[in-house]
Amino acid sequence: MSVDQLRYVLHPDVEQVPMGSPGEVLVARRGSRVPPQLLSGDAMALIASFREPATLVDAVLAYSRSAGVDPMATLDEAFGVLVALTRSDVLVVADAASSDALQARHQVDDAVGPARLTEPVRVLTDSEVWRAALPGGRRAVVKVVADEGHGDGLVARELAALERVSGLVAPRLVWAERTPAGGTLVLEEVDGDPADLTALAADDAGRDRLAARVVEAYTHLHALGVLHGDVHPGNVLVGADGHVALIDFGLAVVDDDLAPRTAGGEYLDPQAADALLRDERSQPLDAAAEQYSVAVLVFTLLAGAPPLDLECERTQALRRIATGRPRPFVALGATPRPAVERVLRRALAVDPSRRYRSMRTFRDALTRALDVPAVPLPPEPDLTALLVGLDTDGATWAHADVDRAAHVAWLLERVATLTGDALAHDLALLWSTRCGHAAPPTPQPGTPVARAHRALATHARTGGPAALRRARAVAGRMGVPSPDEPVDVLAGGWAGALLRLECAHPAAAAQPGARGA
Amino acid sequence: MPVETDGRLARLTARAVGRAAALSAYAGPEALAAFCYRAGATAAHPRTDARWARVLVDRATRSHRTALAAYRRSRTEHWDGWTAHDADPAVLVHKVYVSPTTPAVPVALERVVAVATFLGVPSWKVGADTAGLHRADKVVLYLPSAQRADAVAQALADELADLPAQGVLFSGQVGASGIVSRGQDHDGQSWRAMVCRAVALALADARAADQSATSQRVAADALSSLAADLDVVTWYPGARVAA
Repeated sequence: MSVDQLRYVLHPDVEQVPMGSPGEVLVARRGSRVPPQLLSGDAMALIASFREPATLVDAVLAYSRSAGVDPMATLDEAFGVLVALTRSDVLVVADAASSDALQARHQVDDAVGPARLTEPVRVLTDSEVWRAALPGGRRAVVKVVADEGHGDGLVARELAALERVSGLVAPRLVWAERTPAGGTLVLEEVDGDPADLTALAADDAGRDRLAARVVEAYTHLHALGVLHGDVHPGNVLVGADGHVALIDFGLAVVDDDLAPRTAGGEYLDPQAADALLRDERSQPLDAAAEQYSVAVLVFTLLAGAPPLDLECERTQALRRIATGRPRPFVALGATPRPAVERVLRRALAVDPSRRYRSMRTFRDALTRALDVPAVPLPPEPDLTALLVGLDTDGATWAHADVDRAAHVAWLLERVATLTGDALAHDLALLWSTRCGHAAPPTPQPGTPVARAHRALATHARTGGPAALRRARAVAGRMGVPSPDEPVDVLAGGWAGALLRLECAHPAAAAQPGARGA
Repeated sequence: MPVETDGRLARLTARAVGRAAALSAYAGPEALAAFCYRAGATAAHPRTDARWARVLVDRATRSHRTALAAYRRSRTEHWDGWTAHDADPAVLVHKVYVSPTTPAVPVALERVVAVATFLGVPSWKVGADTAGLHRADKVVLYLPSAQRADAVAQALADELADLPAQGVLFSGQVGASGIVSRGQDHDGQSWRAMVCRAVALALADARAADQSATSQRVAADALSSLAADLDVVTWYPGARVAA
């Protein structure tokens, strides 16, 4: 049967999420590893024709008839989308096994080796993860791999790695069984969070400890002759006691054996990204490549965002990985840490020969750098006393017109946002309502406020301290507000006070009147 | 139930009513009600990770998995909720608000879950996004009777007494700090939404009656017009609320 005779159907596991833009829908297949795809309203109308089995030709004709458009034009525009949807199994051949709804291979209370399943964690087409209980009440995780193409290799590599690291930097392997399509592993459960989520709930000192423990875990792993091959925060679990455990060794390299490389993601090293850009085979994973990935993870834990901005289309993202320099912490709203940032820049060098010799030397350098105190940010001006004067019993409330009210509302909104102050929040709400949510005008180019904000933007982008000094100098020259000075966020003492506050938060600074601030 | 007549929440609410009275010269009842309802929150820093709130909620519940098995968990965009399998939501109208400052949320959440599961609170919800954990009423517990709600509120007030309070305006303070307070839904309407709307309408009426009146006069007139139906000093629920 040729392709034009095949009847396709929308898979029953396809889930649709409407997006912000009218008509746009995010489409994904439950249980699939393929990322969700964003479809236009027109594309959604076309694939709705596949709710019942239909050939591609019939669906295009039916859609074109109902939309009153030329079928050839529809085919031209939709061909790429239809191919992508068949490749990602959103559209599947009707009556084929692949069109069946996803069914878990196990169910609650099934016995798997010594474990009894208690709760599904993740059910994918090629694997399952379950929570389970072991005799005596200990908790376990059961991992089932059933992938005809790759499962055997994944489980073989995972078992080889666990033979070295089980119970050390990885959860203890309790039981395993091989099958031709993979197998089943029972591991002791790590009752913890992925490293990035742990960092979110930690304070500065906690994040430092976490970063040190993650690098220590990888140092230990490499010392045992194992490369993880799949570094990302979801594979680095942190227990309530701070213990770090690495999981998922299906791509691990043990004693220089070969293993497939991950196909992308922000933890990819520059050489692998370059190979993907050239459509070439990646070099085998080595310690320097893994050092890069671990450095991306550590950077993300400490700064709250990854070193490169990869929110762009894939080719551009790969290019940035292959050539990019990490962003300064200050650009991400984190406290500048010159010593730590220097160490991470080296571990993140595009040229692997410029990275640290080993994970151990990276760890030693990072440990020393974490002991160096952070650069203190400029102190935040205390605006509390000034805010009280902007309450409804003050002269400003009595005499302000709408334009003045817009200046006051802007000032208060910025103070509320940057400091979290509850009084500023309520007063901002009050003044903003009073002026009908109007914004003050943006500063004229060349004025002190505009120049200071340009300098702040430069500082946030480059981390260069000179730009911050320039912005602070401008703020200093603008003076401090006097009680009878009308609130103006473009010039004068009030603008100076606000600018000093913005200087303490350069990554979040917003020029007066800026939309979306 | 001992009621804090000169408590922190009573003072903060009086101040919010005064501000809304001043605003009544510029805005209508809808905007006034929105101001009253949102007063007492804080703004989220723009760099806050969107996953932060859910992480805190998940961590707070982790050590109570066994007790939480008796609850059905619901997740919406803004709230995570737990309701006992045998609870009847229709009768759960007596509310206990918990309002720590945002930095104190991680510690407070752990303790709230411990108290709620220990006392068998039939239902509660927690703000599960960044905005939700910056609003004043970050955690709301639901009980079937005023007596039980008072007992739970007192237990929570004792348990959370050492934590800094943000405080839920237009609710009745329980304990010394204002971290715990009470409300009561009527006819399917949320307590605070209902009270804030009543206050806004009264303020608009008072302003309309005398455009040149001072804010203090407008506030006083509005509150006295509500006093028959609401406790306009402590905002403690119990008095009948006009439809």
